[in-house]
Amino acid sequence: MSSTEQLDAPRPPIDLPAVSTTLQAIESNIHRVIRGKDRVVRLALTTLLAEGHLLVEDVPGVGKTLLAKALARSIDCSVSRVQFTPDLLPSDVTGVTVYAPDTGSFAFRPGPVFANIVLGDEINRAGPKTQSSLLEAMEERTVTIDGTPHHLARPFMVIATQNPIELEGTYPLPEAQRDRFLMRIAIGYPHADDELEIVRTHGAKDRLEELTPVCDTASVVHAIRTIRAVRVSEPIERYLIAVCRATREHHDVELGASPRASLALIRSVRVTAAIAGRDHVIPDDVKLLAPHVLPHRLILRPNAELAGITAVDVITDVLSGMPVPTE
Amino acid sequence: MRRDGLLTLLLALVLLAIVPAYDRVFTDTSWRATALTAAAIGLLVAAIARRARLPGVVAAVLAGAGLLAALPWLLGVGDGWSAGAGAQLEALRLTLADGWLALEEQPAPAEPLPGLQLLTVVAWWAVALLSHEVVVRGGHIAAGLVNLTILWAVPLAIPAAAPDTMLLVVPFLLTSGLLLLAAVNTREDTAQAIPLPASGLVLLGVAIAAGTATPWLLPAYGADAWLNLGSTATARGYQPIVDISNRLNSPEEREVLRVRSSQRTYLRLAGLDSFDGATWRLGPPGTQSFRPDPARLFPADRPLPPEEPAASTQVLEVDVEVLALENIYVPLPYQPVEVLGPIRDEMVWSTQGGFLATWDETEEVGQTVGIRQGSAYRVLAERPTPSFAELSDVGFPPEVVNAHTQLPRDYPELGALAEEVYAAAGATSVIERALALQDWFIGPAGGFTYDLDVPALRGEDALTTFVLEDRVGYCEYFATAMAVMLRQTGIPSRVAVGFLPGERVASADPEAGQLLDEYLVTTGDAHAWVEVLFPDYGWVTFEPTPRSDDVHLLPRADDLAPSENEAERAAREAEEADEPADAEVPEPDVDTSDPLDLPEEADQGLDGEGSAAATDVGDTGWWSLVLAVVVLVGAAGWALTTAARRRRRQVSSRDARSAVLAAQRRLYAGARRVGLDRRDHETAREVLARWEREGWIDRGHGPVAEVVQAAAFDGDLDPLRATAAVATLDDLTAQLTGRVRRREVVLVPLRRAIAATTRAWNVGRAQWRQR
Repeated sequence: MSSTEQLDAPRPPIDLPAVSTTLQAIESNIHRVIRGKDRVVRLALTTLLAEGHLLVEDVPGVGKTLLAKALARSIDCSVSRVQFTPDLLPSDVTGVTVYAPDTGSFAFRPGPVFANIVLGDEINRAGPKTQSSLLEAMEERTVTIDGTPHHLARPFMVIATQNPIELEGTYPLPEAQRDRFLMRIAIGYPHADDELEIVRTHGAKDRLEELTPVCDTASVVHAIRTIRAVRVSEPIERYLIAVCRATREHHDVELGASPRASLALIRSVRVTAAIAGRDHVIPDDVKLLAPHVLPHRLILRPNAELAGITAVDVITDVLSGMPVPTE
Repeated sequence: MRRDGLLTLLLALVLLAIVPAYDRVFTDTSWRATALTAAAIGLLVAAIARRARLPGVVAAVLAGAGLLAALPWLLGVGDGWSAGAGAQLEALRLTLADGWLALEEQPAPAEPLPGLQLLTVVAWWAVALLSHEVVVRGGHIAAGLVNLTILWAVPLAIPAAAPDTMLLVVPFLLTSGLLLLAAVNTREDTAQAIPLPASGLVLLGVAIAAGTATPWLLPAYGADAWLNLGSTATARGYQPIVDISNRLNSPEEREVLRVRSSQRTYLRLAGLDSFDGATWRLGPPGTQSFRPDPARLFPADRPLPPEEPAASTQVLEVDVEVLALENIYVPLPYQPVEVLGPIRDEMVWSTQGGFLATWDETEEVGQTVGIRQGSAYRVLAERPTPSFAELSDVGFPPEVVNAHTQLPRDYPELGALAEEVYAAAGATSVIERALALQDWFIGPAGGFTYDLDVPALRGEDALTTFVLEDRVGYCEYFATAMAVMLRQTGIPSRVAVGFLPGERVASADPEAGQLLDEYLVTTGDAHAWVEVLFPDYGWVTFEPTPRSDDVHLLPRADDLAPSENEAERAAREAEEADEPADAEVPEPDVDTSDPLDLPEEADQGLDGEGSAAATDVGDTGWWSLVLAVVVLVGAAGWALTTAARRRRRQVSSRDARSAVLAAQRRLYAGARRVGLDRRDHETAREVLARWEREGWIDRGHGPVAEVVQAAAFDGDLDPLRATAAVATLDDLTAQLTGRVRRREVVLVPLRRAIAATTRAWNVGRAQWRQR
């Protein structure tokens, strides 16, 4: 069935203007505190709307926490922060049942994971047990404590940060765990002009304090629902899958992108299209997001790593060799 | 999957609704089970194949195999595949040939002969399979409905005696309407290759026209197709011989004629002058499709010229009332002198075969059904009653012998056998020989048995096998065999078909005003016999069939034209043995002008009523057709409006979409011509951006890329923007092709070749390095 036939079926209208309005409001709000990082902000927002989680891998002090906080504040939602340390216990993340002497009963005290946006700082510093307690919550969106399931909030997004430089005493996330993050991004140092701006304004006052919510969780949930209706035509689906499959056959790759990666990519390109105000996905969306959604899921061959080839290089290589559908 | 099931079910319903339409083709309903089973095979196998995701070709092959496997069981043809595939195939082939022959020769409604059933079965199977493939697999419900409508409309060419319009039209309309509705309801993507308006009007018209204009697909004669499209639509020649076996094999014996006659007489339909190796046919040898010579046709409203002059004759008067017979050939005593009764105006007398028929050549309408239930007529005939002595002296001119001794091939065994029979009887003259051969067939010498339950006389060796080995058959076999043997030995002869005199139900009673004996002729009296031509004495009847019931008239040397059947003769001879004194048989009186026996006015009234009824039937048929078209068009229109309302906007957007995509293709093709190919990994945005950067096109084409990609990837497309985009794209094509220098364009193929070589070299080198 060609794409032409599909689209002449009656289809529900997509409330894109409302979505774009919401998104642009959030974006411009975040831009007030984060300078010159439009792309990063856009990707973070994409992750939120694709119902995924974000792994920010960068050196300290470039604004990882700030990004998470700004996002959380822009949306009128709860945010919590967990500083992962080697002695952090799983119950420190998920919550604990405590005895309340006044009532004589046990009460559940929710952990930091019961928030809309959870910032897990330096996730690689905690032990694997604690890491996996968070990662399970990310995947299942429920936490079971003492046999009682507790549903997490909606929207729910974990922004985990990882310091790639200081590796002593850390437990780097294994590939299987990294796969649970929709995207891995690096924030990068700001531009000189932007840094100047940062220095000037931050010295004066805490701009984060001024940030007021521009929308509520309900409108975010609405946006998420709406975005699911963005159309991905068959040529695009095939192109997207071809890109994912090509990573599995690439000569520098030991382990390629999983079907979960294809799913993640398709969810994210829908968001990109919606943010751009389109009701349909175009190949450019795939090309834009593949370098962010796919690389952290690949395991390269040792010799390729030795040769200094990165996963992003592999994706770029795959994209440059993949014929793009034009109709 | 549910949609497939629903459509298959609806197709089955439509096929069921077509059943009443075919009831007019056959005399009984035994065809239904076979045809429906075949259709079910086609439908089910196709549905199962579809479910198993097999390709259409495989489905067709499987369905064909299923049909072939079921055919012997369905039709009772051959001994089944287990007995030997070759024999089974041959049996099917012969049945098919019989079927084609029957199509040409059988009047409708026809007996459900295996050959005709085979054709019906194949047609139903094919339509069922095709409709399934077109409707379910192809999704073209309208086109599928056309197949079904053709299947439904084909029998309309047969004028039914009393078409039950409601039964014929309503089920088909209901079910096909349901199918059309399903077309609207089950197809979510409404982009159909054949749009519904076409299904409703044009295709339906085509289907019905095709159906009604193809009476050659049917066993039909007696009337033209409803839509007369040139000569193909006229009814074809009808060979009367086939009637005999049908009538004889008819499961229930029906009374056909009531005859009042001064003496027993065969009622003859026609004399068949040519033998084609299997069947005796009307007309001179070598003419497959017989059209009588207009010069030898005579109107029947005046005294009839004799077919052959006969010197010694006996006048005979016969009144015939038709009880159940529709035929263009009129049963009558041979050879007629005059026909009386109003129906005679419709008839012509042919001295070619000696038949009276409603075969109107002058008005170019072909045959029409002449006699039918209620027809009554009186025939005055002069029966050739030559004596043995007279015939012994007859001379046979070579042209007479030559004209009536032609055979399609030589039958040396039969000729030798005939000579043996002649020698054994010491027969030398023609009349002696004819009698000897007749007696050989009839008497114990030949050892023949009369039996209706024998296979058809088909195939190259069937006749010799019958005469030399099997020696079991019925009148057609005996008459054929004797006539062939006579012809093989140079005696001018032919086969005549008609009816035995029938059973005498009332004797003449002059006091009660009943001057003639009354006979009832039934389907069981259908008969074929042999005629031998004696110049100057006409065609003389011989009777080679050893019927055990003694109802035939057997010519003998002392009485070549008997008027008593064998049973009567035996009784008389027994009586004569008791009373040898009384040997004179009183000749019954003949009254040629008795108005009481033939109430003309009453007949007129009856006839008038009959023709009025016939006109009525035609009108009803037309009206039902018009009604069918109107209702179906209405259904199609309704379905259309509901679907179109939903689709209206999208149709324009679909056109816009394809226009934009076509413009994009033009752009890339144009670019490719001048060597500015879009790279495979470049999206529309990227390639336009690159061309902008490289200065091949003006800046600012982001919006065009947006529209192009919306068109390509399922986006909402504003027709206005689309139109603008098409213009822009064409403009871009012009810019691209215009800005590249002519010289560069000429070099494009060379550069392409160099690039390809370099690429191949790099790939090869990389592979070599890896190794």
